Amino acid sequence: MTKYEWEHELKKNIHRLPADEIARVLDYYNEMFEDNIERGKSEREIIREFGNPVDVADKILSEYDGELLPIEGDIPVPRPPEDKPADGGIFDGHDNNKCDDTIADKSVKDTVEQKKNEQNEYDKLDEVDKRNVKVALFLVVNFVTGFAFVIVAAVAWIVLAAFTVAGVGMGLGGAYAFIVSFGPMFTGGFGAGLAQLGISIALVGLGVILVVGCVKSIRTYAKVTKTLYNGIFKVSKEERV
Amino acid sequence: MDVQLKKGLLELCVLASLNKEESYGYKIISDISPYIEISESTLYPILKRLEATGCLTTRSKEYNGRLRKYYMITRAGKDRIKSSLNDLDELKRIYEFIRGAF
Repeated sequence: MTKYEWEHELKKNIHRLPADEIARVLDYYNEMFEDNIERGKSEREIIREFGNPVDVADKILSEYDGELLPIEGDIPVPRPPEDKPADGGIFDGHDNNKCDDTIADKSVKDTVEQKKNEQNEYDKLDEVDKRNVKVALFLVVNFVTGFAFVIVAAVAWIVLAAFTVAGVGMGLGGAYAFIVSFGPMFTGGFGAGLAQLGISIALVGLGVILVVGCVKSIRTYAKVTKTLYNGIFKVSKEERV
Repeated sequence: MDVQLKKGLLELCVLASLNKEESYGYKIISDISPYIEISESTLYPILKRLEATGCLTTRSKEYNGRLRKYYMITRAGKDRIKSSLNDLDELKRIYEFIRGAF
C-alpha cells in the first residue's frame, strides 16, 4: 500500500468527522510521515507502522467526542455531555488535579458497535431465510416436475439394489456350477463339464464385478444424497445459533 | 499492561517529555518509546485530550518548507505531573512490595 492509498482509505473511513477535524488528522499523519522519511525510513515501513487505516479510523472515531456529520438525510443528534469516568487508573480523578477533565469517553464507539451488531443479526436472519428459500424452491420444483426428481432418485436406489442382488446371485450360481461341473468331467461328459467349468468361473467373475461396482456406486450415491439433503433441508452448523 | 493504567501513564509520559521544552509528534514518540510502548495512532488522541483539558497548547512552526505542529506544556500540565508524583511514589512502593514477595 502506498502512502496515497493509505491516506485515501483513512479519509474514506473518517468522512463523518467535521472537516476541520479530518484536516487535523491528515496533517498529523502527514507530518509524522515526513519526519519518518527524513529519518531514513521507507514509505512501506512507515505505512506498516501506522497500521491498518481502517483500524486507525476506528480508533479516531471511537475517541472523538462531538457531533458527527449526518449520513445523507439524517438529522444530526447532539451528543449529551457525559460524565467522564475516571479513566487514568490511579492517576485520574484526583482532587488536586488542576486539569479539568470534561471529555466523555464513550463517543462513537457505541454507535459503531451497535451497527456491527445489527449487521450480525441480519446475517443470521439471512442464513435461516436462505434455508427456507431453498426448501421452498425444492418443493416447488418437485411439484412442477411431478416429483420427477424424487422418483428418479428412488429408482436409482432400486436399480442399484437390484444389480447388487443379481451380482450376488450370479456369483453364488457360478460357484455352485463350478463345484457341480467336476461331476460330468469325470463321468464321461468331459467337454460339457469343462464348458460348464468355464461358464461358472465367468459367472462368478461377473458377479464379483457387479457386486463390487454396485457397492461402490451405492457408497458414492449415499454421499451425494446426504449432501443434497443437507444442502437443502439443513442449516449448517455455523449458522445454527 | 492494563489498559487504563497505561492510558494514564502515557499522558504523564507525554507531559514529562514536554516539561523541559516544546516538542513535536515524531520526537515525542522517540523520546518515550524506550520507556513505554506508543504508536502514532495512540499518541494522537492523547495529545487531543491533553489539549482539551488544558495541559498543553499547540502552535505551528515552519520547518524545512513544511508546517510542523509543536506542543508546549502549560502551568496546568506541570501541576498535573506534580500531583501524579505522589501516585507514582505509591506505585513504586507497591512495586517493591510485589517484587519483594519473590
